[in-house]
Amino acid sequence: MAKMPTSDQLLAQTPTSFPNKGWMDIKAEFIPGRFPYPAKAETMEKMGFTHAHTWAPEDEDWNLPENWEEILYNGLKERLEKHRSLKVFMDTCVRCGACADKCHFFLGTNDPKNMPVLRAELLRSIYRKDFTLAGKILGKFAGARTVNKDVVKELFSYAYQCTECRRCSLFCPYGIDTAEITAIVRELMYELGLGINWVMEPVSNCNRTGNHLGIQPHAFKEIVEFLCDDIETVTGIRIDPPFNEKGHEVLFIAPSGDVFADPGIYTFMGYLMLFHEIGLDYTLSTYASEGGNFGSFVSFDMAKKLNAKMYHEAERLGAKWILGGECGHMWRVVNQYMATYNGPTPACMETPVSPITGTVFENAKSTKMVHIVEFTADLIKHNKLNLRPERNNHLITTWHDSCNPSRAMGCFEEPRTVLKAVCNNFFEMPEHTIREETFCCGSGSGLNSEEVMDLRMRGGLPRANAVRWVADHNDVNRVACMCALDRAILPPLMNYWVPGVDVSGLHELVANALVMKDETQPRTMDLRQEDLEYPDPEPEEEGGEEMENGGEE
Amino acid sequence: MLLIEKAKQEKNVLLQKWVDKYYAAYPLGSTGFIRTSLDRFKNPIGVITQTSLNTLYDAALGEDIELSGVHRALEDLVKLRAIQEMPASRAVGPMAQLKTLFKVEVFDVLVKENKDSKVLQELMNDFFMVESRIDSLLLLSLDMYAADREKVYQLRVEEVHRSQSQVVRWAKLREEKLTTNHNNSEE
Repeated sequence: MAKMPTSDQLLAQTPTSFPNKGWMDIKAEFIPGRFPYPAKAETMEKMGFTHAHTWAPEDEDWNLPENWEEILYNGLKERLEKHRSLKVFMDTCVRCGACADKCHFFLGTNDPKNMPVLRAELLRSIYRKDFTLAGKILGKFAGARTVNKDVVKELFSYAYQCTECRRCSLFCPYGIDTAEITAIVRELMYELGLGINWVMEPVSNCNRTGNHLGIQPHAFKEIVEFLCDDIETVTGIRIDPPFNEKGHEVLFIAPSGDVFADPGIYTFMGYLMLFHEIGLDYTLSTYASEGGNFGSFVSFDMAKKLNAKMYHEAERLGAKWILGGECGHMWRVVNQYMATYNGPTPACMETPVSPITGTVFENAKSTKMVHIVEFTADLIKHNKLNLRPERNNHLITTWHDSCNPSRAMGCFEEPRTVLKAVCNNFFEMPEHTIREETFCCGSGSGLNSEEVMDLRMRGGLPRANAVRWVADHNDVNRVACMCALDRAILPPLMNYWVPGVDVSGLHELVANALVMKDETQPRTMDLRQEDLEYPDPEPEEEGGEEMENGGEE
Repeated sequence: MLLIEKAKQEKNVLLQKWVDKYYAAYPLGSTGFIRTSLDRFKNPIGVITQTSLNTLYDAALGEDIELSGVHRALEDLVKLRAIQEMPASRAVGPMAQLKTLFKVEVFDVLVKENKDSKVLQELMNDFFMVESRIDSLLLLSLDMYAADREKVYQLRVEEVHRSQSQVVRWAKLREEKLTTNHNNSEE
């Protein structure tokens, strides 16, 4: 017999994560909603992973290969020799803590192991034990620990609670790139046969058909044609984009999410409308049908393998340069790794020059790839587009700086130039949450699978919290961004934390505002086929009463 | 009104103790952090918890307040707790612990100080009213918690639909074409 506990007693009995042990002694937990599902052994085998096997994160035994310690040791050794940066990052941290409260996962979970310093320490402790004299002799006193199966689980768990956004490295006085440490840990996990399905399936699909969903060329073409049908409904203009045609100046490669997924498709329609309007000499490709690169969430080698198709296709089609769509990690790979991965560029390629404005994109001299936001900002700067921003007056926008094109690439002003030109209503989110210090969407780097929605809501809290601020104070109802993953990730994040705020790619808004020469009918709906609050005036009314401009900056 | 007045006077101390009951769900290594940083963008969990509980404290005492504001504060707090891997009791339960705080820190102290039966009766009545308001907040929290969990599952389903919307459109159209062709050939 016992007495029913009081609420205080009951809550005191409820398990909490109040540990009374040191961090090395606390095992990683695998709670549904926190971990991504494992990759299928078959898929991994086909991609050349020799230790692929069947396992489940919530199981006690992960069926690691017999010589797993040797694999891990050799894997780390090889990478320390190959990447000088990794060796430096392993040696230099002074644990000042500047990074600790900069990680969106730490801010959203309050789990100490999500402090970048401690996340890196998970690997550093192993490094010290095996590769430093102090660690070998002094062990735990020198911050070293012997690796065991629980440590492997811990490495896996926290490597998949990091989106490689690099906000932490911005604040590190030594410039330690925790994202690179996470990338190495993930590589080591793959060596042990521990991969995740959400990454490995797209990688396998991409390897086979060129895009993440595994859509074959005929279907890809037909889906793009649907979008052309929709453009015709909205504008009355029929666009027939060229596919796989040789001899065009530009090869256009977009993230495939813009072709297949809502709301990315409106951005893709925007690209097509812009190209039609300016008469760009371009072709699409059903082979290089994906700008995104989930290989970069697996290993450097896999990223290189999947990225190669861009230059192959440019060479096959004889394109002079590549114009790339609004993608995030695609640009991390292009901007940071492509020249060494897949360079030098094919002989047919030249430093990109805008055929409309004559601007030479010196910044793309090495890769011969231009981000479409840079391209459009240049068009707007040279006043080459006829824009009617009033068509977007029903939208009060803010700008989410997607980590990769912004923090990793420095693309801050271009998108703002474009957005302000096509929308009358724009409000910045608070300082320290934008530009270099932008908060991640919380689900990048392969963490945008539905099974980790709980984790995503935690990791995305700092971003959503800043959007909430402008929604409350400025009635913002649309977040614009230039990353296909953001367009997939932000809708549920907004739906949970800031209901009423929707998400758009930049070129959706550009195309809404774009007054096209061939347009025969006044625009009454936006690309989502929703009625415009400020429809175009009938031709005879043109030049009459001025449209109300409710915007301010 | 003696109880309400004292609870108002003691608000800073009691509120902090109540906030700590909510923080008890977080790991020891980071509770220091959520307590100290007051920047809403650098410490969203801490600031949302403190701001919400500040409003809810007044609501529990029966202060004249905008009910929509109370609803919003509660919603913010529960939304935060609903996705943090806690059992439901841990997520919304600390609401009930405000009763104990009032009982020990306010009611018992006043009972010791006052022997007049009329005053004691008034104290009892006030305490029951406060308790009842806390119960209301707890009941509302329960609804919100359930709705938030449901929402997470709904988001998962919606995302699957969104992520392949055009492929589904394509497949449906293919199917329609096949059916039409099949019907035509039968005719």
